[in-house]
Amino acid sequence: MASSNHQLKLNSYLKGLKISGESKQTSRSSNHEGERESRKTANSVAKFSSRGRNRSQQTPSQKLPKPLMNLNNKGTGRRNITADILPTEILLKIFGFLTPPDLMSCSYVCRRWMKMAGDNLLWQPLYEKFKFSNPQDKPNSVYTSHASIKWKAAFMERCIERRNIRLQRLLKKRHPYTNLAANTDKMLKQLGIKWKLVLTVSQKQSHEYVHSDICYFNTSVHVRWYSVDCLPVDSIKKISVYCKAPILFEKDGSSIPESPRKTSLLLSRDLTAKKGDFVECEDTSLKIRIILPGVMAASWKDGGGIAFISLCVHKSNLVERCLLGHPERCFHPFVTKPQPDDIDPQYGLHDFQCNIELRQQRTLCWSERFSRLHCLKEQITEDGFVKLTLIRSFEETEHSVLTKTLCLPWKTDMFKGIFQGLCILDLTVFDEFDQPFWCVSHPVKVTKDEISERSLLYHGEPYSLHYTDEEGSVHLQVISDEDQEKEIVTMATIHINVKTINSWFSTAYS
Amino acid sequence: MPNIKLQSSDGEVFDVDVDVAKQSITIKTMLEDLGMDEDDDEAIPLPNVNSAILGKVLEWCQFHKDDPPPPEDEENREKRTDDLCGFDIDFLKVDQGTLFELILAANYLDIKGLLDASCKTVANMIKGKTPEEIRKTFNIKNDFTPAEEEQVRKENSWCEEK
Repeated sequence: MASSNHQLKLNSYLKGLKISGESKQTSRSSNHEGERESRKTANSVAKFSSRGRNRSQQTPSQKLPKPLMNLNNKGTGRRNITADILPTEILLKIFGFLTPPDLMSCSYVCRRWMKMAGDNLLWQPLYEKFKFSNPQDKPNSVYTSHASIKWKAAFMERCIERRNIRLQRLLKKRHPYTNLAANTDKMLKQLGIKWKLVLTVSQKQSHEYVHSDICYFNTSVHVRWYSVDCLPVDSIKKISVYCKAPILFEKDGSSIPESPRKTSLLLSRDLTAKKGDFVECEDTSLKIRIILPGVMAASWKDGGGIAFISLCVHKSNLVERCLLGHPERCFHPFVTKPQPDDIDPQYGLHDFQCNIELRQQRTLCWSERFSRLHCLKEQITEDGFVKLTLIRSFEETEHSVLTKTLCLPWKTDMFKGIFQGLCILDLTVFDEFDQPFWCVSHPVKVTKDEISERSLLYHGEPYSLHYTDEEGSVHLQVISDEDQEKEIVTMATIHINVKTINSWFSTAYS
Repeated sequence: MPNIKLQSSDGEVFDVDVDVAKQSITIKTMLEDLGMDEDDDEAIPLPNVNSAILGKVLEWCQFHKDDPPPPEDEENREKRTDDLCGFDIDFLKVDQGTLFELILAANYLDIKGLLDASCKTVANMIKGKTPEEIRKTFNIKNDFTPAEEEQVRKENSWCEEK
């Protein structure tokens, strides 16, 4: 009895020494050979908990030296001890308490942390936390069907997939007034999308900015960047806008602030080929130019540097374009075109709907919806355009009053001003199945109408607004009535290019 | 209450209540394997832990000696870091060197509660920080070559950092 007791005591001595020797080595080696060491122990976090027992089963094989007193331990510590001394198993345990965004940050810290923070031991449990409620929500990724699963990548992919499925569900509901996805604003806000502007000056030099402000309208979104370097507008070779949307969400659907983000290209245009930019408008301190569809660049008259860049973007498929794109390619939504329908020989086109809004940067000036628009087949052929009349100048009942003056006030963090005679036009034309097929959000000039006859109904100057693109054109007439002190839209027509119609409806009008 | 003696690496001997010391699975196993007598006068050597740290560890064990044993199903539990008790929060308000030494000691002595609490404290020091802030906090050198850094970014290309 006594002797076996003695043996056990020896065991414990030995154990203490063994562990002591090994751990000293660990702490020394982890500075230099952390990676080798990490491979050795990366197998399991749980392993250490059974360590004591395993060790105690070892038996002594040789005569034991007297236990050395490790006096160094106390002296060396304190000043030099850093996170480097923590063995892999501990580091993994610590990382096990972190969220995916924090693990992402850790992966950028140093080599060793990068290896640790991407470890399958951390990501597999995170991946498996997903409860697959939806049958089509099962793992089908290439990562999971493969023998060597990259759980981190699989996890991220799953998050993105999940987000997209949820969003598509949310996007199904249509807004009763605009007929566009009803939750667009809510989702863009909830996601906290960052709109990134990249101005490329030369092959090696580009400037990146996150949006300064954003305004939501019925059918469009207005994004501005005004904390920008004072680059001359002409020096910009290329302009790109990216949406950076988070991929991780709380249980209630709100995004986690530190979530990693996926980038989608929204628009990218080479400006070198574009010649003959003209000054669109100016006020006392700025001039503003339309450099791309929906994109304006305002520059200081004094010095010529950029004061702000603003982007008007139509809401049609906007959430998809912001989320589902690729960092280098824009997202092109799949559109279901209507079946060819030409039942009534009288009517070439029928049951169009159209939504027109005129607005400032922050305020809506005018919004009207026109439905049951049609065009006779004979009228189509005239000049290659289909004319749809929305407001007729001789029908006073059709005229519509503006709630705000047409102009474009602007503001940066220090300055403000107003561009007179400029506003934003938002146009959406729907087919008979309520599908939008021509969407515009673009600045238009308000010019004095010299051609039209003076209206007898009002006392004031007529102004006209013109917009033209490949799909067609819009023409509005506004009279500023002096008697009523109101501005009234007295005429509105749109012309749609027959080519646009033919390609959309699979018809063959000419 | 029976006491046992624990000897730190620098030779200091601690006289400890067995129940307090037994929170260390390592010590508990030793005692069981050794069938140690209560009146045994020989100190158990703990060559991996210096007296300063051992003192701290035993202070923690003293406070937590009446805790229920930790639950087993660790894998299924939510990994929270905000559930530290007030004592642990104050107890772990120490310099980083001491904190890391406590972690190593808790790991060596196999004291789950202390290991969890100290690891959570480190995790809380990481949370919500940018890579650069983390490096600063822990005094870690960025040893990436530009090519490697590019590689990390590529690996995370479908989603960038914050």
